[in-house]
Amino acid sequence: MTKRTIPVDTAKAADSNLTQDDWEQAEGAHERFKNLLDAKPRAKARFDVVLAEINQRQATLRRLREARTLTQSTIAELLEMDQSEVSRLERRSDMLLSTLKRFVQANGGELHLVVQFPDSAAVELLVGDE
Amino acid sequence: MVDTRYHPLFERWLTELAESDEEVFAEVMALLVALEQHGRDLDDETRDESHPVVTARYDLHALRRTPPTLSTPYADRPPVLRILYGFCTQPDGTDVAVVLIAGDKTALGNNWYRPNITEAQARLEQYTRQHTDLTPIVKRGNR
Repeated sequence: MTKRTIPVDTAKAADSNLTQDDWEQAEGAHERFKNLLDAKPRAKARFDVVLAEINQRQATLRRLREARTLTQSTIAELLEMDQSEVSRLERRSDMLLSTLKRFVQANGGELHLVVQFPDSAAVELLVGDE
Repeated sequence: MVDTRYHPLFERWLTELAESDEEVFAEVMALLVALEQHGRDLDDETRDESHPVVTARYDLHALRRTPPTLSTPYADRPPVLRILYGFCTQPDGTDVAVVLIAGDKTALGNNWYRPNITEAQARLEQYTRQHTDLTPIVKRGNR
């Protein structure tokens, strides 16, 4: 592994004597660094991969519901359970496929389970009701 | 989307990082853009990318360089970066995230936090003195 040189920040706010220029430099810095990234193709490629992974981990059932601007109470009513049960369900990482199917349906969607082998056509598994 | 701003001293650090290590710079930018996109949701449920700083007076959180994955198998090796940021409120009630200080905790381990939390809080106060429309959020129980 290559030796990395990460800058060390030991500055103290109390005696940093920041000038008006420093403060102005920090304004809109986030946008400026994003633009800098676009000018560095290798860094941009790495950024895209890491951000995609983070977004994948963020794609939970809760966000799926929130994206449809539905509340836990609405889903709870449709699934005939308590709001607290919906809350727990959304935190679960493992559940019955039938439960997942009902959750997705309550959000107005359809669950499709597709099995893909490298050497044959995709097969869709049917998810039964409870 | 959360308005994501940098303290001038963090801006200085990130400028140096962009020049010294392009790869880590790219990873840090991914975290900062994820913060902008997900806001408070980022350290919910899975605490891989961000976790709350429980010992802070203010509503501080720490971004973490992504844990080992297929594309970052070495992420548990140096630098073990932590980037402290804090939430402020604007007069209209919306949150602003202010990114304060970053560092590699490889050498110090969890002892990295205490002095850096102190400094992060000082920087957050300094930032809100400069931007008087912002109020740092004090955590419940500490009011």
